[in-house]
Amino acid sequence: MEFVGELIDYIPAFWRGLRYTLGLAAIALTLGVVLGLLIALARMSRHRLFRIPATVFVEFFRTTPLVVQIVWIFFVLPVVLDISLSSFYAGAIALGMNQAAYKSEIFRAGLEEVEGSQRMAARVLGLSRLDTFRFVVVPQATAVVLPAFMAHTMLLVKGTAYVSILRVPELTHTATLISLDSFRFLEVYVVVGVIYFLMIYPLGGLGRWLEKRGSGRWRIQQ
Amino acid sequence: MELSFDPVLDRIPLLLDGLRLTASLAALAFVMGTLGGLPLALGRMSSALRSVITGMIEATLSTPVPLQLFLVFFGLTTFDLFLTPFQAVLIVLTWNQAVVMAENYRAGLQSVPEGYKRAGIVLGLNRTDRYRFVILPLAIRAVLPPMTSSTVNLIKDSALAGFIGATDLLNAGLIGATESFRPIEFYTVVAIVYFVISYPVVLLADRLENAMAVSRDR
Repeated sequence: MEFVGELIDYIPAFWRGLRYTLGLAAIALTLGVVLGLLIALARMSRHRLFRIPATVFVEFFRTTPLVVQIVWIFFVLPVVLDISLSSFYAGAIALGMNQAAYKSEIFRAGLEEVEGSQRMAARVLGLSRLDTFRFVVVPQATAVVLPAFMAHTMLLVKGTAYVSILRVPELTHTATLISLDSFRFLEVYVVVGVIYFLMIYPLGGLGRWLEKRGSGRWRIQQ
Repeated sequence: MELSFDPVLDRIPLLLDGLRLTASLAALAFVMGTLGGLPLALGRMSSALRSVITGMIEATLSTPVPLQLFLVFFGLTTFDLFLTPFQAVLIVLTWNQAVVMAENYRAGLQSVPEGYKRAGIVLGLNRTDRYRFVILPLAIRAVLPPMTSSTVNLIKDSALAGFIGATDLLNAGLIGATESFRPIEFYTVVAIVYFVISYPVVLLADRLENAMAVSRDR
């Protein structure tokens, strides 16, 4: 157990890695939710002008490896848009767009769950479009969406590890740096594995709990 | 910005070699993982090993695959076990496929309604026949759709081989991009190749999902 003493010196480095990981996840989650909702609405639109680009976006991000997307955005986006992009933000944007593709599918499933007849009923009752959305569609859609939403958020936290290919010092790359410095390869990766587990496992438990709760409480009995 | 795809065309053999490595990784891990998932699922559903296997499955599902790869590739050197990058990626991908499949098998077997199993008993079918004619045909319907989506994940995660220096498709692209200073062309081509391999599987998954959903409603 002598490695414990050695690794204590690296606590600031682990802490920095954790901050980078959480930062990546937070930016990507925000981007994923906002962009994902827009894409879900675009895919359900009657106009092809919205539907086709949204579909292409989703299919592309669902079928190419996340690492390839990260590398592609890091090298291609700055040239195409003529901007400078740090590896951290390139990773965050790639993760966010990847999340948007998956989350849009969940949102779409949730929105489609609420039948047209319910919308009509709400309109007949005199609810405005906005109120229909707020009081009829969203509460029911949420019940359907939440468990899958949590599952994909787990994937997002795991996905931050792929950004290590750009040498962003998040947890996984930090682990590599520390292990090269301390020659404690096994111990360092196990410690970082435990840190990931402590972040990701509760998300899965929360998802399962929401699923159980949701199926009883939020679902309208047909 | 001027695009030139000549450097990419010059390095087609390199990219093809990378593609071959990616394809063999994904294929081997698919076969071994899909088979290996079965004993894992059975072990989790019964036997004294249950808590150990459950723990290993949860640990795998709750940690990033790149980290698992580094743990196997670099971590095992502590025990003087030096794996080639190919071996390390193959082990990690196979294990992850086995874990995902174990969960699928379990969900599939549990999706068969209790009444069907009892009906099989009442009809005088023995255990083997109940599995052959009642339980497995129904369970497979629940297993197939998630199986195809895990296959897509497998193809995608094979790109991790590049993390530890195996020349897979992604790494071939990285090499080409560095040599020719043409990152845009190389990464775009690599992304398109991945899309071309994975998209048919995604389409298959969607179709299976629809087909199975209909046949189960009946």
